[in-house]
Amino acid sequence: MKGWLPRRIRFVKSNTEQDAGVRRVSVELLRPDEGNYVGRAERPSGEVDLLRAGAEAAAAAVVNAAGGGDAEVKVEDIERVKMFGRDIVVASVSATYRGQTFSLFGVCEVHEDPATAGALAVLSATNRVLELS
Amino acid sequence: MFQRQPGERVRFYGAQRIPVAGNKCRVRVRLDMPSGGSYVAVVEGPAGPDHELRSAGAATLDALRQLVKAKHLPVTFELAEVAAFEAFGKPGVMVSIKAEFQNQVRSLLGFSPMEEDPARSVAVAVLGATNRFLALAS
Repeated sequence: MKGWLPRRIRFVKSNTEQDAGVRRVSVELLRPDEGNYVGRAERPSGEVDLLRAGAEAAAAAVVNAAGGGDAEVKVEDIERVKMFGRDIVVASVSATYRGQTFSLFGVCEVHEDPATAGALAVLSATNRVLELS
Repeated sequence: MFQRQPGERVRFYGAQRIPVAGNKCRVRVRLDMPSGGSYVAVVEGPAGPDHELRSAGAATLDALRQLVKAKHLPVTFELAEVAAFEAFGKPGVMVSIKAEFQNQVRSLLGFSPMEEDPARSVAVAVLGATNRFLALAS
């Protein structure tokens, strides 16, 4: 990512913990010069659930990072598809900010960690509305 | 707490499908800058749903290239793939774009639900893919 245009909010990391059939995912975002924001979610252990847990944790982190404007971010749906020979996650997100509700979509290629892909898909979706990048 | 990013956001203005002789089709896409300035590109290709999706993607990228040139941004784009598919039980379109910036190449993905105007859907997907580092918006 070095050398690309600066981003107002950066994805730092996601962390997944397994506990008796439940996966707990945390997603950490960074706003340079302001601080780190963490969102958490938990889901059953299925793979789709891990995508969704990452997405929901990212949505919670985005709301925390927003800190105002009555921000709400909800993961409406998430789907993993094979396109262009690649493994891609598509997220459908509704975001409310400053009284306006937006229906948004985000995509991200799945590499090693489905939770991270789910999180990045949500950030991709909310980017335009919440000025994330 | 969130502020507008520095710089303007380019917006999708419209797309036009123009059938031409020889079973071909032109797709015209116009992007606007809020402060003024329009970027229009026309791409001609074979007629047919899949071909026209690709033409719409190519026209959107051509319009973006004009913008990038006008802004002296050292970014290049290349349309890799465009495909219609089904997501969440509804038709959608996905685009894959190769972008090069400061000697780094990245593959960008964009998605849009397929709307009544497929060319618009493709343009929105392209803007979504390139949005992050060009502060673009549909």
